[in-house]
Amino acid sequence: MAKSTAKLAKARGGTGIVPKAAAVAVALAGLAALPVFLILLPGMMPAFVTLFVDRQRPRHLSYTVGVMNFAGVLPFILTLAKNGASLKAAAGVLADPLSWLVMYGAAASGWLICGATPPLARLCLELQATHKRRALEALGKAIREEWGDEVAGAQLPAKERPAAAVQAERDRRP
Amino acid sequence: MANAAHDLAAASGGVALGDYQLYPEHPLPGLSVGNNVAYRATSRERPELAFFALVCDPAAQPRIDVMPAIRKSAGTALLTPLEWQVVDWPPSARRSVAIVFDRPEDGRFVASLGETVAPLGDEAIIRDYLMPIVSALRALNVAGIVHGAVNPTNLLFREAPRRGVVLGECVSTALAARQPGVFLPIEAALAAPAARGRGQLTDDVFALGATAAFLMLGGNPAAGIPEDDLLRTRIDIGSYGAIIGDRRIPVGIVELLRGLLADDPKLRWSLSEVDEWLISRRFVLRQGIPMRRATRPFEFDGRPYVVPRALSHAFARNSDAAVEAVRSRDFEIWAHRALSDETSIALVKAAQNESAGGGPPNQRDAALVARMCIALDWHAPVRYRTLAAAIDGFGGALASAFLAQAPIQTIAEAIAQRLPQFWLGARSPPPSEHITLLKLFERLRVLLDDGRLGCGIERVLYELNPTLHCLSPLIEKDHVFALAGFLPAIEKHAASRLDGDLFDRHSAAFVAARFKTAASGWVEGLASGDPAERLVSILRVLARLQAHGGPPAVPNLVKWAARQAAPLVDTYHHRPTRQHLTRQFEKAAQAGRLVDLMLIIDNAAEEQRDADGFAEAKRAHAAVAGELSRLAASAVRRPQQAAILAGQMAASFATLVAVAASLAFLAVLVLG
Repeated sequence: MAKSTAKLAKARGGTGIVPKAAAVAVALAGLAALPVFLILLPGMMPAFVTLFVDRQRPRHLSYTVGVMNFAGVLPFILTLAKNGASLKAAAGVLADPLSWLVMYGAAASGWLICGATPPLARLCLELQATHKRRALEALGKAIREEWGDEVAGAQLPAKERPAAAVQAERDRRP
Repeated sequence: MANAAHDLAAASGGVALGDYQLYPEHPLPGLSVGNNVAYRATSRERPELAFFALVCDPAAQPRIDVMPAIRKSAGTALLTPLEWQVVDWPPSARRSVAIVFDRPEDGRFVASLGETVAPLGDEAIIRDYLMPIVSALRALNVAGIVHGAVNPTNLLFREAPRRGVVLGECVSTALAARQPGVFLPIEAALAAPAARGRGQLTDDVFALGATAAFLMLGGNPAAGIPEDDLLRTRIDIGSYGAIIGDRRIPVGIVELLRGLLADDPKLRWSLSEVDEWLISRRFVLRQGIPMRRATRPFEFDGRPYVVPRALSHAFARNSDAAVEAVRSRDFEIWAHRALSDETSIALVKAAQNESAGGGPPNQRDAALVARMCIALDWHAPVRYRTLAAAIDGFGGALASAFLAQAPIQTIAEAIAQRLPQFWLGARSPPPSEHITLLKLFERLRVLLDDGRLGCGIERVLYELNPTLHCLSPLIEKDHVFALAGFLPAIEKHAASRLDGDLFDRHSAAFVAARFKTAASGWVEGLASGDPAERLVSILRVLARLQAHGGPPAVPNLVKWAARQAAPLVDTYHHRPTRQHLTRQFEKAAQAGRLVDLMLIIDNAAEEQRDADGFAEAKRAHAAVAGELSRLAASAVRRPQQAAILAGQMAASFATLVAVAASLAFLAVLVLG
């Protein structure tokens, strides 16, 4: 009975050994470097929120905001680490509004980047399609110029077609 | 062209014909022959001698084929053609056959047969007339040529006053075409003037006898008697009796006249016998076969007939009434019981039993009468309705009808009804030349039924008349009678007909008949519905003509062909190839070589290359079109694509910025 319950839990994606181990490892790391963790957890909050609200796959928005957010948090963690990683120093960083501005501003710039790239991407795609269409149209025109409009399967008016072709067509009629 | 020739003639003092100059402004009416007008001629090499030239009427059908043999064989007693050629003749604004002869000093014996002269003594006749005539005929006889125009109007005097008799020419018209009936044996006289064929050597002997009678009697022995009446009398009582009658003839010459005027060719004297008689007055008396007579008469058209030949003649004269007669029981009984010889009886049976050659009933009836005429008189010509033609005279009859623009239907019907074959089959065993003729007429019958260009009655015309000029309206005035002249004549008119058709039924048939080795390809090509095949076959034949003795350049003809080939160029899909071909056409036209043009048009490899290229181009174009379609369709998915791309771009950009900022801060921290 116990075995079947464990299997059911595993099948439901329930609490496996790896997430539990990870949670324990993070908790241990948090305890070991508590000052860094005190800065990292609130500093990376925009990234966590974005990860939570991002429904797109792949998660480019989460990645972009996360990377920028981390770039904004990293200087404070490095400064903290350099100064001994004390709780007092961590509290100083958290008490400084500039720190919040930098960390959250970096995350905001990630959002800005994500907001700015779609028009740019659309423009790139349009340019690429236009270029390709023009090249194909030029090729088709060159083929028609060399081989005539018949090459496109177009039926020329009777008076412009060769007499032999017109006669052959008449012969084919029932 | 005629004007140019006239200018040339005016400038040089005449129209040139080999070494001779002809003078259109100096006609010689006394030496003219019918519509063939005589003109004064001179020789550059022998300016001291007098010559004349006969310029033949377009309808004359001169005997071009026998002229070389006559020039080679004839002696001084015959007016011999010295030179002949088709020349530009300014008075008629066309090209005509001109024949040069020595000019006799004192003209003709009589201008017409209606003239009378003082009767000549038998010695004078023999010495001054018969001897030179026989000498001339003997020379022709050796070459196998029939003169066909021995009569008093065709006796001329080489020297004045009236000395040195020469026999006149016999080449400016078809054989015996101008010979009055009284100077012809009955069989030949029964045929129409233009349809007397190649004649028999013994025909000249008969004409010699009639001429001797004229000289002896001082005029035409048959003067005042209608030709048909005379013919009927000759059939009934024999030519000697009908022509001489009860006139007094010197005793010493009676045997000669009887021998010359014998109706049976086997009884008629030969030239050597005449010659011997002239020298020694000795002759061989031959036992004649009595004239075929029935044991009792057959009544037709109110007249009793005992002689089968006379009945045959009467049937031929009244074909409509004869239909009923030959179908009657009386005729059948009469033919089986009264005709004394087995050959006649068998032929009458064959004529009745011969399967009809098709056609409407009136044609079949007329054919039955014609066959019966042959059965009753198998030496006589084929007589069908208004046609009366010797077996080798069908060509002349047809040519005469075409030249006179007279109906040709009767002649075509006679061939279609296989009357010549029946005539030829009436001889047993058939001579070798008759077997050749039999095959020819069988072939002509097939050609007659063939409606394609190059066949039909026109083809029959040129097959039967090897020296007839092409009667195509386009080149008729150029008088082209041999293939060698065809291309230059067509070339002359091609410039003004670049968009028209150069070949009509006559010219197509002319080429098919004269160019035997190319005939089938030519006819099939002309009948082809494929313009390319038609043009190529025309070019193939014309190119061969050009290669074999034709003019080295025919630019107008090449231009014409290139114009005709323009639609063929359009069948090529590849535009640069079209331009290339057009340039090649222009080059070929400048060179004037038909074979070049033919090779350009008849290029299967180029056509295949074009077809392959076109198929490849179609595939390529379809691929391009498909790609464009896909591109257009992808516009709908573009926002999604843009979103993905935007995400990638943002992630990449953010990574770059983050890494750069972190590295910069790290550097400041480490260095600072």
